[in-house]
Amino acid sequence: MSHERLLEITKGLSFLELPIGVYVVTFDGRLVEANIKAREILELPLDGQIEDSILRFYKEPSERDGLPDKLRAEEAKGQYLVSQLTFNVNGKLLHIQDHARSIKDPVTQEELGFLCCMMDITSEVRYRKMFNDLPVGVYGLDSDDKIERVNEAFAELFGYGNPEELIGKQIQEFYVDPEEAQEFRESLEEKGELKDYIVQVRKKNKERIYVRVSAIQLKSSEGKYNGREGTVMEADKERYKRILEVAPIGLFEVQSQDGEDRIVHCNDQFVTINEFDNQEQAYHFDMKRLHASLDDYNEFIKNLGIKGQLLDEEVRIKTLKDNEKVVRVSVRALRDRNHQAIGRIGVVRDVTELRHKVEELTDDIGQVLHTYSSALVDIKLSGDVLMDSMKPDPFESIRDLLPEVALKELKEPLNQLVLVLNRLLGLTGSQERETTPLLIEKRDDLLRLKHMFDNYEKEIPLEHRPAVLREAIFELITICDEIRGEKLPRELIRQIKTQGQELLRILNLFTLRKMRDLTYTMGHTVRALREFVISGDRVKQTKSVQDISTLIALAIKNIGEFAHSRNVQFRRKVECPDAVVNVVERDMIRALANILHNAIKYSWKRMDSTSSLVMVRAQLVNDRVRMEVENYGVPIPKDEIKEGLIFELGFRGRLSSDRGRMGTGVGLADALRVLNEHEGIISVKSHPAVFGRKDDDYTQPFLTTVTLSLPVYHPQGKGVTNEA
Amino acid sequence: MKHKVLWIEDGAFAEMQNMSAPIYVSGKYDLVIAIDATEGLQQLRQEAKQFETIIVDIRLPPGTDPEFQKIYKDRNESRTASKLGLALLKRVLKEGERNKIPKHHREASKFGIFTVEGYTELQAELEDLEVKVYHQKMELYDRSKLRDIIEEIRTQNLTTKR
Repeated sequence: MSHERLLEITKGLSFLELPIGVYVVTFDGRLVEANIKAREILELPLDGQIEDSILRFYKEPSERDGLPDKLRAEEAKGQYLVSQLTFNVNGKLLHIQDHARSIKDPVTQEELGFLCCMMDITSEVRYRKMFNDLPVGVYGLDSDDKIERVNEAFAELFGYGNPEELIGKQIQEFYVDPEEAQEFRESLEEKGELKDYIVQVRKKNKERIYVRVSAIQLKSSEGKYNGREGTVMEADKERYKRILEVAPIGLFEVQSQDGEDRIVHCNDQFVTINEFDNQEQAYHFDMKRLHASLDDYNEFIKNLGIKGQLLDEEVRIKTLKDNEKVVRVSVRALRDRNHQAIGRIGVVRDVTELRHKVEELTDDIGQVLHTYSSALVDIKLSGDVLMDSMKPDPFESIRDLLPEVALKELKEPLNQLVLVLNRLLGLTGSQERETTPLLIEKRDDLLRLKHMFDNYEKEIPLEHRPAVLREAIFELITICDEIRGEKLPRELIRQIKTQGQELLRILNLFTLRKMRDLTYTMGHTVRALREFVISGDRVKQTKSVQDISTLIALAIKNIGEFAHSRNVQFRRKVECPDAVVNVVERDMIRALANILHNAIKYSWKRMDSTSSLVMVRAQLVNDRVRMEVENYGVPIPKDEIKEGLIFELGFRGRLSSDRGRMGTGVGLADALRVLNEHEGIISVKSHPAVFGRKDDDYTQPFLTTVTLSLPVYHPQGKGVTNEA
Repeated sequence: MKHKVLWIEDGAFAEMQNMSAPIYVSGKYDLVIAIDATEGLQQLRQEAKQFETIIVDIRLPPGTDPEFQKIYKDRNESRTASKLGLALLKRVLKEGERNKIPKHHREASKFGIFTVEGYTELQAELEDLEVKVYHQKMELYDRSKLRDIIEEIRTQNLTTKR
């Protein structure tokens, strides 16, 4: 009934060519009439009667529930019922803004249905959704550069809870440098659009960030600046943040203002180096207080002011917890347009440990130098004594000890020697004299030597002549001793020997003077070496996996000649030949060789043996390789072991000079250092070789054992690394 | 017939001079000395020299040869620190043909090393070059050490030839 009545009332509506959709429905949703725009939106026939229901178009039909009541409520306020609906028109989703009022029978005032206006706002909804959902900040400003609209991402970037908080704010407020805001606008007005402009802005919480801005200018109808629209993104936020945070060096930015140097940015490593609890504690801290002294700080700032930047500058600092450290800083001054310092930005690296090592090394080198110098002094003074006892010295006043100087002094005595040697050869060659096989043999040797004395100037290089003459005279004197029992004039033999010894005296004086000269040269060389070492850092060596038997074999080979010279033999008992350790090969072989060297040097021969014996043992104990080097001989006093003195660089034990031995105090100290770098342990025991004897009687032989322990290497073992 | 020896050693006329005396005085050897890598190479290029034993120091100055000079400069090492003895051995034993070295001077068994470097520093290179006789310069040696090394190489070659 209502349908027919409504149709009658609204007849002709379909011809209305309004730009909005107009339609009439009954309460239950039956479409009665619709104008052309409504028919277009709902894709209905553009003319003729409609036989359809509006309900069919609702994506959610429940949205229509209670509609009459809502309508009456709005009408009571004199308003239309306005709804945003989502329609499904033949599979297409449309966003519809719908305005509705009721239609009453003009006669009976009975409510017959609804008169509705619909607008397709799908495009607008999509735009708005895109505006709000975009992951970059979008903004629009009015002609006074006040914010008119921003999206969620913009609000979030600047630390605001919602976009509404920002509406009406002046954009210049957000710039760290207001001049930069002015510069941006001027540039935009000039070019019409700007892309990827990097500016530093301040967030709601005052945090400074760098953002990348792109904008277009809006113009009024007169062509004047009428605001702008654009996008804003944090400049490479994630990448820079990650680099900043994970970099293994401290990064910082300092802002200088009113005589204070406030930290405005830093990373975790900076926090660690300076012993802050966290970054928040570091922010706004006065950097000046981190320098070891005000003088240091002033000097640093002065240099920075002069140079504009400092690279790898070593700076002493005092941390927040009052610990002194040494850092290397590379820093660049930040200046404003007037070239005034407004802060600095830089990197900092903690080199305290390295500095300590360098100082330690310098100290160690000083100790070695001391030992070396002692030896040089000893050699020099001993040489002086010998030279004094061998006077007269023809070289006393000579500074330039060239071979010809010696040869000149040797010429006359050598002529004398050759004269008496000729006489001897004359006698041994005489057929009238009785001869023996020894004389026949030695005569050949004497002839060879005479040839040498006669021709050395022709056959021997100048530099070698003194040494060659000495060698020949040695042999001549030896022959004289050998043929002393032969039937030869003893006076003649004595004359040869005397003349030979005089020549040797002159040659020895020459050699001693050269030796003394060498001590001077070496003194200089050692000092130069010291300078060289302390001016650079030691480079760490790479570790590699080595088996124990190879390490021991190489260490023994290393000192094999020395062992041979001392008639010392090794007895090896390696119970774990295949066990491997992760070591710096050269360092570990040197450490082992040091210990073996000591064992050889301080070995005595046993009563019943012709040679000394050093025991080398290796076995596995609790996943560690335990190596022992044991020798029989010079004791190490127990106090020196107990106090750890034997491991001090340069320490020479009381008994280390036993029977002319020369301790340097380097071997064990070096071995300890190497072991420490390999999670190793080294210990020393020394006790009387005969069980039950008094352990403070150091006149008896002792058994001394140096024990090394190293962790066994497992390929996938915990904490194992390939780098030293 | 004297045994022909080439000793390539920059200290031969200085700190090592006493080592040469027993060689000369014995009358058994014909000793030739080269004091840098270039001189060593030049000696070894001479067909007529017929060296039976060649003893090489490892730390050698380059001399005038451009190739040695280049290595020396590239290493940026001091004069005494350069290990040109190894470079010389390589040119003689590995690249002998190119460097015009007569065949009888290209036999690794005639060579011996007498140097301050430790064996572990040189092991890989010496194994590659097949040079077996190695001795480290030490203060504990007496002046007969050089003669001993010569004899060791002689014996090694005699044994090989048998």
